[in-house]
Amino acid sequence: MVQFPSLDGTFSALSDPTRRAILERLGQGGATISELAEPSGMSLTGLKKHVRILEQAELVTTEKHGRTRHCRLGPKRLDEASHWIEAYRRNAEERFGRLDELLERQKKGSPR
Amino acid sequence: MTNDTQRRNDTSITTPSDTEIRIERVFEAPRELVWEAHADPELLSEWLGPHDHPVTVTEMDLRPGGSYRWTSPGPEGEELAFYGEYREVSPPQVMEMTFEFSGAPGHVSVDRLELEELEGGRTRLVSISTFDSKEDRDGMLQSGMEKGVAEGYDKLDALLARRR
Repeated sequence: MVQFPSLDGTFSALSDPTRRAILERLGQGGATISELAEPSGMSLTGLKKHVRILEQAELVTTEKHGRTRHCRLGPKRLDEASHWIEAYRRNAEERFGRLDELLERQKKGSPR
Repeated sequence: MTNDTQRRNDTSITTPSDTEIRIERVFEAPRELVWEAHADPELLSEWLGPHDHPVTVTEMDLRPGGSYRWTSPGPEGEELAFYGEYREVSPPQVMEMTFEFSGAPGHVSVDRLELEELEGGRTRLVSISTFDSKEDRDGMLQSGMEKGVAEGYDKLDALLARRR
């Protein structure tokens, strides 16, 4: 069925492919900012911005060791499906809410 | 608009296997009406998409082997299409179809809709989408977090491309 999702809170942090790639990478183990930047070809500044957003969403935590910043997955683990499913469910709910309304009209036999 | 008396039932989403998404929802309406809302192109387009992403049913040949096509304007005015073929049509109970999106061609899933008559003129809808791979399924689940369809599938494409 068609997905017409809406963004909110944590999900907006996950709405960006770069940020999802960062989480995927960190899922395999911690990494420094430059290690994260390397495969994406992104500037360190650009990457830091993404990491900060993930940090605010508690999906990532960082720690400074000397001049390098180490990143790892945060307390709000991206437990694969549970986050996705909640967003997916909300979409379906919106769609079914509209179907509810249509069915109410049909039950009353009012013209559509 | 929803009025105060209207009842909203819970929607349950589960993943029975690595390649499936199952949706269950009860409707306060008889099965024939719920079927009609899925089988009549005009009715279907009324609820399929929200106002900012209206969906038009441009083709609907509701019989096994018959095709369907839904379109919706994308964020930049381009046309997005959802299309496939019906595999089983048993009114007012079963509708099974393939599902593909123009933004991610080649990623075909199968949607099976089952409607069960309940007491008191209510209907239980169970929809199971089966994907080719866990990646395809997860991509679809993740698309639920995206702002819009096009954007979502662009990202799904990117995600799939990375994993291929």
